[in-house]
Amino acid sequence: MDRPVENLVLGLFYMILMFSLLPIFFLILLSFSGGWPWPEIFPSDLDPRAWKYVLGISSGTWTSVWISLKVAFFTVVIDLILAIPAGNALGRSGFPLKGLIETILMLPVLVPPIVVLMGLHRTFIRLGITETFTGVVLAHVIPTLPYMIRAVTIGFEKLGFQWEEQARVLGAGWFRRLQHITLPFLLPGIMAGSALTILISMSQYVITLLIGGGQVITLTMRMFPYVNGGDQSTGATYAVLFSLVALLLLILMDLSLNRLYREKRL
Amino acid sequence: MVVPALASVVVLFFGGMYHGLLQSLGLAPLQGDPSFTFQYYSELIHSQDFWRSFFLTLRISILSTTFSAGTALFALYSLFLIRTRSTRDRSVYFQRFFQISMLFPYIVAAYMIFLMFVQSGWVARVLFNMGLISRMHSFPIITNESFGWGIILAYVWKTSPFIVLLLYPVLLRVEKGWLEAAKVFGACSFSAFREIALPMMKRPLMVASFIVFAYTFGAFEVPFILGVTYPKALSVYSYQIYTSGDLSEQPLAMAINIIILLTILMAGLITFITASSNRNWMETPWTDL
Amino acid sequence: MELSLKELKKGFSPDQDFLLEIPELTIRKGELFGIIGQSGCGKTTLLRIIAGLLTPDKGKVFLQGKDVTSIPSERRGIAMVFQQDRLFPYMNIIDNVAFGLKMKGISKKERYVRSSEFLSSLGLQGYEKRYPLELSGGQRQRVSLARALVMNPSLVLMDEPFSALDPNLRKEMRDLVLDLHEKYGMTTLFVTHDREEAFYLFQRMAIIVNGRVTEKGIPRQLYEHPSKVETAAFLGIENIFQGTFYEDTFSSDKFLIPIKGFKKKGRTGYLIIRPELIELVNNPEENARDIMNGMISQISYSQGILHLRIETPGGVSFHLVDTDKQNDLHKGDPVRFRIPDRDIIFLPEERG
Repeated sequence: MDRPVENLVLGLFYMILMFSLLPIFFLILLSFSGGWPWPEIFPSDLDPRAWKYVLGISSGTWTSVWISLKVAFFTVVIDLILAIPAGNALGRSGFPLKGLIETILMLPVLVPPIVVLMGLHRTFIRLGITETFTGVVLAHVIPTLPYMIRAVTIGFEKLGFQWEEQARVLGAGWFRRLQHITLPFLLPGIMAGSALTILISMSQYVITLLIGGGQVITLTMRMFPYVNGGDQSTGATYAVLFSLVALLLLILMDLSLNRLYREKRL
Repeated sequence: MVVPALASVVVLFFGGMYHGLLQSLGLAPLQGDPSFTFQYYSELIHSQDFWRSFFLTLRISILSTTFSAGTALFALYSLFLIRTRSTRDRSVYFQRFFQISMLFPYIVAAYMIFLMFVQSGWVARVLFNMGLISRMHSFPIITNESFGWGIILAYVWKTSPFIVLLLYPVLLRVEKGWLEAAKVFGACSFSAFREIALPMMKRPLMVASFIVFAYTFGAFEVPFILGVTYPKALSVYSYQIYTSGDLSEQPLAMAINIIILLTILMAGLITFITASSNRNWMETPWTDL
Repeated sequence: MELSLKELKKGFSPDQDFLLEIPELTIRKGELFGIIGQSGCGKTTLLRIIAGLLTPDKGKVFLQGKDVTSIPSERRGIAMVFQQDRLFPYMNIIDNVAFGLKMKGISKKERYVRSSEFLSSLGLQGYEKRYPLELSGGQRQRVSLARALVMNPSLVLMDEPFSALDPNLRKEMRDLVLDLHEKYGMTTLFVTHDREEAFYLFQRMAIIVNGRVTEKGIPRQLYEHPSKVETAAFLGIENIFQGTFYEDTFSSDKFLIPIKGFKKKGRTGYLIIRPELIELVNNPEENARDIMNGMISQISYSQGILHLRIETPGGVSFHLVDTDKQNDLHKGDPVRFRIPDRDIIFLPEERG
């Protein structure tokens, strides 16, 4: 393959990259359009009405944002409670059947959540947690836990035992060890796992629908009717809003992690 | 230590599947007594609707996985070129850029594909203004049609960055020394990529492809937004039976779920066997990505 | 001529002198030509330019009369053996060896036949289906050689291929190279920093110091009759003195060396005395004018050869090599020695 052909390949690649961005711009434009009749390429009628509606009180958007965040938050908390001891064991020790256990813990990645949750639905009904916040959180733990475990395990692998032992020898008490040794090693893993968990949790639709029964209205649930054939400007607005919220969260987490590191100067 | 996590997974995850399995076999009915039966499975096997859905979903998954892998390999080759052309490796930035679509949930992604490719959508408008099509309806129906092209498009857009993400580290392990040797012995960039980088990527590619297949086979949101009423994707089919209100039909939905599970398992087995037989003695076991 | 370099210049920063500057260098077809120089002198850069992995800032490279300077590496038709074997780890041995042939488009059958043949030549028959990581360093380097030779290239480049191997292995590999060169007669350009290797292998060689060719020629000639001081210094001759010749004496500011019969009276320049030429005078009776006295300041032994450093009362230090096993010498012993006038090299100083 010659240079010119290679250049063609690269050109095509750059074009594909550009096209990845295109739908985003398009979405933003759409969200700001009043009407966008055929065959306009750019909307001539720019009107923030969709945004006004979505961001207004009547649409219930903010409630949904809040609920989505709450669900995500508690999912993260439960995931951490479960993942940290597990990561500790998997990342630092060897024990019989470790490989098998690791595989078992990773399996939920491969199985569609709907399959699992339809089976759980009746049990949830019997336990009375359907249509409740708790039920939804539990349902969200299933697809997110493996990722959290993986991220935290890597953190523990990096930590090993050596650093804490060193600190111990040097006279540091358990709290200071925790603060200065353990946490800095684990924090990136925890952050990464949490970020991924939040992303996955917020993106869920059908399991929230199934378990929440329409009572726990996350952002995805709020926007779904518009996305599935409703007013396009509103649908686009929700889509943009959703992406912004997700992006904001990720940036926040990244920033706080950086700030933490800078302060500790590690 | 591991116990709480393991317990939760076992209870929730396996429990859910197990319960679904039981229901599908008639062992946990909502009304009446449990009795072991294959009737629900038999009903499905004899249902034309079911098979249409099954093959539709299978086709969509296989095509999505194939195109996604193809796109990913193309992207990886491009990254390879970028990396080997100049002394400063800028490929990382492009790789990260390629992953933009991973930030969006599938719902949003499906919606974007819809808006772009529907007959009154953006792409059609561009073509119209360029004079390539004369009317809106000349634009082919891509979204919401029975073959599933819209679905495939959405899947490929979302999953190829995932495959690239998994395979990029392998690319980084290709040593400059090998590439120089290949060059001296007559290899152009493409040959070098094909002979050196590609064999290194074979295993992770198989694993990544399997994950994509497993996801696309059982996913709900995308076919729900971009699919048609008939035939439906299996997960949509199952969901609609389950929520149809007729409680006696529920085991049917469970049976469909189990079949979805079995198909994914089968695919996993095939991947495992192929990956193991391809074993170059110096490679690490396949679970270690 | 097989390879010819003209006005080659390569630098790494625009405001400094060129790192590599070679006005002219020619290698004949079928020759085993060597490049010797210290680490960092530019010899690897030179090799990479010839291979096409680096482009020169100025100058041209000619292969078999054709200007290949702008032709990329993959089309120059040369083969290279690197210091690290650089075998492809995910391919088996025979695929590694056949790689270049595959790139040329030769059929699988023929590739394998040729590759097997060369593997046998290198003593590796039966290793075809193994993988590089299963082989030892020496074996891998042999595969690397096979990979290069199987191409029947117009030029084989070798970049210090044995530096990373054990010394015993190195000797084996050098013999292998000599055998292969005799058998196949391929034009070879071999780069090394090892003097021993250079003398052992090269038919002709070029000495590179600071990116410039000091001198080129047949190794023995360069050692016995260097035409530049740098050459002698590089080839390991330590007895280099700067001064002027008077009647029977060579003198500089600090010392006098009696040398009988050397007819260079009045000339100023460098006196170069090869260590093997200095004679120890054992007979206490002998008493010629040219016998000097000194004390052994250093003594070292290496495989049958004694290296001596002798210091004269005047403060001059001589390096002497002695193979006379009779001598039972120790540090601090007084010795008597002479410098015969034949085979001494004198290089007159250039007029600034």
